[in-house]
Amino acid sequence: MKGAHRHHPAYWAFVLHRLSGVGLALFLPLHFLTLGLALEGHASLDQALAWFDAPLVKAAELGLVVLLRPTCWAACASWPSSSCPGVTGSGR
Amino acid sequence: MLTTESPAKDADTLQVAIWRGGTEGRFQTYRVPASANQTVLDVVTWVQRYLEPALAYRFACRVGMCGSCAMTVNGRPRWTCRTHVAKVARAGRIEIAPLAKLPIVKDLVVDMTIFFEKWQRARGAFVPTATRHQPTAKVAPHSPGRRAVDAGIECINCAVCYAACDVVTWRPDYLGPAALNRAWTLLNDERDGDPDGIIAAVSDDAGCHNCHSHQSCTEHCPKQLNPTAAIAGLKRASLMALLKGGRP
Amino acid sequence: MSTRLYLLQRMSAMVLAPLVLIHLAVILLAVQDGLSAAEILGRTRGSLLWGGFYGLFVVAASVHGPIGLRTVIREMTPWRGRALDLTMALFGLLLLGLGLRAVAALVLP
Repeated sequence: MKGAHRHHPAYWAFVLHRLSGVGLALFLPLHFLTLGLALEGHASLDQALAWFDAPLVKAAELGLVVLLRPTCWAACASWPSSSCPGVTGSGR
Repeated sequence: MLTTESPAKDADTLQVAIWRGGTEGRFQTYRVPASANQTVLDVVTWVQRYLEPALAYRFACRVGMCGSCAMTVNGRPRWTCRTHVAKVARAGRIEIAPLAKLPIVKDLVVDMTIFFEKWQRARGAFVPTATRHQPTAKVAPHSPGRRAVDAGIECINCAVCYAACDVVTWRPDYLGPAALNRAWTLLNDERDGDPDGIIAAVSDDAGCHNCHSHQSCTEHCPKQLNPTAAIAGLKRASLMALLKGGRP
Repeated sequence: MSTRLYLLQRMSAMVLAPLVLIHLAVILLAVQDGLSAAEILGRTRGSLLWGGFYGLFVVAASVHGPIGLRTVIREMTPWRGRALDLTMALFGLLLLGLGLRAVAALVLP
């Protein structure tokens, strides 16, 4: 895919939303499973939380969190409305 | 005056890579004399006249009215008659390829069949409700519907937006911005006799809901139309139809 | 079906948008002094508010995620058709099940 005609904001909003969306979709089951460990009592959950303290994991989580806010903005930015941002029609 | 040689001076020479062949092919480089106020179409024409008589390409009006000369210039779909070389040349080089997303017939010529088929699939043909025996319809020019039509009616089917659209790449059956823009103008045309048909046509699996609002179409439209806005309108219309009771 | 999926996607997005922002604020506050099970459970156990909030969050995410993933797969891979639709529906049920279980784990006394 050639990229010469893609460097405008609406496209990047889409890319951001897609990347973080897929990331979240893959992350959520793991997240839910971890939280579900509370069913087994404090110790199990604490153990899992300690595991999540590993730097690489923390970085990945931070990445997701950081992406989460612009994801919302990006998704809202592409909300279809009566006037889209950018070039307006030739309207007479 | 015909000549088969290009002038030797490097500073006044463009290196022009042009796609030769069909889907299987390659870029061939030509040296073309540079001049002031030169368009990319001028360059292609010069190559065909003086260097490569077998080069296939399309043009008609050459003044930015017909859309026939649309090609991919340095990766972007553009009208070549309205693209000045000075604006796009990088260090004296330009790359010219056929319009993307359409089957290549030969060199810079593409097969537009599927583009026009999608026009039909999107119900882009007007359905009349009156005959010649009735008085001309009185359409208020400043009504919201008519203004929506006017904003999109100038489309001349050049397929630049189609070539720019990522979703067309990812979903080959996607109707595309031009066809959907046309459908929107008909939906807003109070004289059209089948608005439900339009909504049904644009709401199926290949329809307007595939658009991600990249706005590449709007960015590239040489007539400054806004197909993204038209598609947004179709999405709203389609939702309203669903909520009001059933179809689509 | 396209329009129905589109409607569900838009509606779930409208629910997710404010909930996500609140959730971000909550976790940023919660992790300030380190994270422990006791701390989390101390806040969430027996709380109708947290149960309701995260229950809604889970339902919205279980709708929005699979529909979105279906679109991504259809656009980026050759996979499409009934098999994909079914798989995504099952993924949605998985998210719903695991999510509500997690909410229960944190909220039920």
